[in-house]
Amino acid sequence: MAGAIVIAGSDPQVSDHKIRISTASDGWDRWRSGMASIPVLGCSPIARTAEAMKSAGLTGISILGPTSWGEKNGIRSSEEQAWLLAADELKTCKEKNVDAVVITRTGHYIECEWQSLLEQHGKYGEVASRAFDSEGPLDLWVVDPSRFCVDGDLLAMLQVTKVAEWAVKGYVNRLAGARDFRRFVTDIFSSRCRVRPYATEVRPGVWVADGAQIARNARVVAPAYIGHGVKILDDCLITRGSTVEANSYVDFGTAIEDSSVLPDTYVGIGLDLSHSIVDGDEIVNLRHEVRLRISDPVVMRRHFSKAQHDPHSVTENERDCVLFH
Amino acid sequence: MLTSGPVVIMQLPEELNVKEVDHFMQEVGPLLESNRPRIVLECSQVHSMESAGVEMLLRCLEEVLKRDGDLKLAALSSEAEVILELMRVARVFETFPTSEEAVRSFNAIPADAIPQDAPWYSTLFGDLGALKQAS
Repeated sequence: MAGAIVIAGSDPQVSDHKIRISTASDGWDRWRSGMASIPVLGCSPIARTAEAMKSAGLTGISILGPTSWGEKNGIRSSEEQAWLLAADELKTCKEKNVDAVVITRTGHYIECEWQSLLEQHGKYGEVASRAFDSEGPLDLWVVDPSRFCVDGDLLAMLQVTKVAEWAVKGYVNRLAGARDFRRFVTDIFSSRCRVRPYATEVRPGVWVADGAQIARNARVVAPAYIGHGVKILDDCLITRGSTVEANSYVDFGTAIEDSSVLPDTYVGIGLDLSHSIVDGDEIVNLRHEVRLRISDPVVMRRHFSKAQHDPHSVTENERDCVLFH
Repeated sequence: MLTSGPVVIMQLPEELNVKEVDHFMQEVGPLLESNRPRIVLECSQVHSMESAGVEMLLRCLEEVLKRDGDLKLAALSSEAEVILELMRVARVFETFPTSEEAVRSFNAIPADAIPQDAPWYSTLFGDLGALKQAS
């Protein structure tokens, strides 16, 4: 029997699935820890990892890190706390006589044969095995809970313990910045990894999730992804590997090209969004390598769908949405 | 007689919000109303720009073009470039990496250096003008 512990990114600026960037001068590394929990084509890398583990027969998968519930109740979990919880979880596994536990810290996305990893770990006979790729070590270990001493800082112990090296042959994306994030999206579209969009392929390369509304005069050109509850108004163009994640709203005449619009984002009228990632009023432009906050809510802002808030408030724009099909 | 004033370089503020736009328009207003205004807006300090800022730039451009002048942008910060591209106005403006290059692009010849009796096309065609006169 094998279990798994997934340490979710826990940067205090990051909630359960949102990037929070405070100023334009913040470093790219701020993205790193939270990126695995941002939905990409309908589902976050962390959820996809857990799903893959479950499919491979791993049981008792614990995802440790900040939660939206915790944030609402003023509880801010730090990564150190998550590692403390992980140490406790590992002790519990030991008590339950679990043979091996996969421990991974998501800040990256790894596709591997989980069963093969466990078999190799058993074959090597070391207390712990660690995954490597061509660029070096990855934050993915398999430990034998009965032999692994879990007192103190689990992460520090994992880093100093003698490990058997296991080469990952599958897809790896370190999600080390906005560029990696966009690369992940394009890799999904071009099937360079196993990830599939959480949506229906309505035309070759065009994925539309349930509840998305696309105006008749809007054009969605492959490859593109439109998430759940998204509204795309007339004369918009979504193309070149762009994704519009759940509950976002793209207003009249806007063109989105080689960009990702993260969940609950309003993108204003007649804009030209390219080579960017947008989250609420924050935009990261990859061509100019700059991140900035758009202070004008007419241009971009956090968007709360009617269903979540006031179901009776219908704006002029939305009244015109009878053309949706 | 066609004469031009000097090229004026103006620095845009860090934030182009409604308040700053009003303030800047007060400064630039008299210049816009001059004869053939030639303006370079230096944008290196711009870190944020609201739609009011973009509208202001377009209004300034409109005014100078009405008066047969021109307005050019220089040293655009990455933030300014992103916003202008986002708002689909980047192509409307002529942009230059530095203010000096923007000034040079006006092909500015001091008004007193142009002989007042020379034909109007002499500054435009140079030798071609002399050739026409000779023929």
